[in-house]
Amino acid sequence: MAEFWAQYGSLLIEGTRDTLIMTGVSTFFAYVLGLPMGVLLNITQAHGIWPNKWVNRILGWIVNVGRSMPFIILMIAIMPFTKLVVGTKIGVPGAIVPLVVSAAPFIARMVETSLSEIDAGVVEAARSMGASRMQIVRKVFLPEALPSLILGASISIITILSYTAIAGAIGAGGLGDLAIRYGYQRNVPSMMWTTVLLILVLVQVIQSLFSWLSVKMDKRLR
Amino acid sequence: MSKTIIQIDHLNKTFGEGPTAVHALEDINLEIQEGEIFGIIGLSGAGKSTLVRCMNMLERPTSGSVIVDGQEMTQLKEKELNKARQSISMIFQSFNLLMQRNALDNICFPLELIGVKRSDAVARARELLKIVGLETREKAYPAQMSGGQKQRVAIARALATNPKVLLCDEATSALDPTTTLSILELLKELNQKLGVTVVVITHQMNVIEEICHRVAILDSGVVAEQGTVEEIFANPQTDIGRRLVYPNGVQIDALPTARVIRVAFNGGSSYEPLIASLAIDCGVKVNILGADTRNIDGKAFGTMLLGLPDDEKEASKAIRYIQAQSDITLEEVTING
Repeated sequence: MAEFWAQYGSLLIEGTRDTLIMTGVSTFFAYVLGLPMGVLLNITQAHGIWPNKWVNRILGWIVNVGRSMPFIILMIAIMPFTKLVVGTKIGVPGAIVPLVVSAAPFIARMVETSLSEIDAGVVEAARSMGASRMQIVRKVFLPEALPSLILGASISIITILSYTAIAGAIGAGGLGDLAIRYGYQRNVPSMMWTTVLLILVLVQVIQSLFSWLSVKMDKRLR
Repeated sequence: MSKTIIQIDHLNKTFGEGPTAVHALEDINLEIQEGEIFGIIGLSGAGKSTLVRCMNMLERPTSGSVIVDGQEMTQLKEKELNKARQSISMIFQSFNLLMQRNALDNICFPLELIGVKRSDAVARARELLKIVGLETREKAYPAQMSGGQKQRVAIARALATNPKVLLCDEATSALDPTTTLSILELLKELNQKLGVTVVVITHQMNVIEEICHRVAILDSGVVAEQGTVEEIFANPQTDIGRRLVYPNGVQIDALPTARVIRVAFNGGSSYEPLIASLAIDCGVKVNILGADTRNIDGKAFGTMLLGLPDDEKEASKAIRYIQAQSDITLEEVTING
C-alpha cells in the first residue's frame, strides 16, 4: 500500500486535479453557450414567449448535429479549431475546447426541458403584469426552473466527467489518461482500479451534492 | 351616468384559418362602467376566457376595438402595452403564483418589474397582505398555503400596482363553496374601498348573484343578453339565460302560466323549513317547480323556483312572507313562452 502510494501517489493527485479542472472549466463554458441556447430553444417554440420558427429550426438543427457526433470523432475533427482557440491540441487546454463544443448542445436540450416544466399559467400571469420577454426569462423561467436546472447540471457535469476519460485517450491528462497509460498499457491493475474508484467517488460526491442542493432550493417541497 | 372604462366594439376572434377555423368570439359589444362589478357568464367553451384575455391583449383580437381607460389596446406597441397592463390586473383560476417565491416576494414581483425600490416594494406588499388578511403568512410559500390563501396572495399581487381594472378569470372555480364566498366578499370590499372596476368571468351563477352589478351572458362566442343582474335573473330572455338562471332540471316550456318566483338562498338557515313554515304560518301552499340548493356548513345556498297559488291574495301573502326572511332574495319571473 505504502509502496503503491509512493510510486503513484503524486500521479493520482495530479490526475484527479486535471480531471476536476477539465470538468469544471468545460462545464462553465458549456453553460455559457448552452444556457442561452436552451432558453432560445424554449422561447422560440410556437407557443413560446418569442415564437420564431426559423431561429428554432436552425438552432434545433445545430444542437442535433452536435449531439449526434460521437465525442471521440468530434475531438479529432475539430483539432484545428482547438488549436486556434487555445493554441494547442493536447493536454488539459486541448481537451476543454472539444468538451465544451460537445456538451453545450446537450446542456441546451437539458435547459430547454427544464424550462418547459414551468406552468404556462405563471408565464401568462407575468405577461398580464406587463413583464417584458427579458424579465420573464430572468425573473420567471430561470428562478422557477432552478431546482430542475440544478439536477440537470449534475447530469451535465457527470457526462463531462466521463468524457474527460475519453479525452485521456488522446493525451489530455486526468484520471482517464492514467487508467489507459498505467492500467491498460503498462498492465498495472491496481492503478486501473484506483482511478476507477476515484472517478466513482467524484461522481457520487457531485450527484449527492447537487441532489441535496436541488431539494434544498425547491420551495415547492415544503 | 359614470364613465366607461372598458369599451368593446365589434370584437371578433378567430383561431386558425380556413375551414378548420374556430370563431371563438363574434361581434362582441360591451361597455363596462368605472367602479362596477361586471360579470360575464357562460358555459365552458363559450369564449369567456378568450374575451377577458382580449381586454389585456393576452389574446390579440382578429378584428374590432378594445378601449381600456381611454387607450385603444389593439394599437399599442409592446412597450406601451406592458405599461398599460400595469393598470389592468388579472387573477386566475389556478392562482399562477411563482412557486419559488414566498407570499411577500410574489406581491413584490409586479413592483420589481417596474423598478420600485426593494424597501418600498416590501412596505407596499405588507400593506396589501394586511388588506387581504394574510399579514402573518408573508414568509409562506405557495406550496404551504390553501387555495383560498393562494388566491388572496394573487389578489394582493394584482393590486400592487394600483390597477384601475381587475380581471378575474374563474377566480373561484377551484375553491370550495365557503372559500368562494370569502373571496367574493373580499372582491366586493376591494371594489367598494378602492373603487377598482372588477370584471368577473365565471360559469357559476351564484358568483354573479353574489357580487355583480351587471352581467353579460355569453353563448358560443356571442353575447346572448346583457343587463343588470336583477333584470336578467327576473326575466331571462334567451334559452341560455334561462338555463343558467333557473335551477337544474326545470323544464322551461313546462312552467305553468301562473305567477312564478325565483328564490335565492344566500346563506341563511336551512331552506327546508321555509316551504313548510310558509304553509304553517300563512296557510299558503306553493309548488316547487325546481330546486338547486346546497347545504354548506349548515347554511343554505342556491335557488328554488316556486309556483304561486292562482289566488292573488294568497300569492302576495307568500311573497311578503318570503321577503321578510333574512338571507333570502326573491324575484318574480316572467315566462315569455
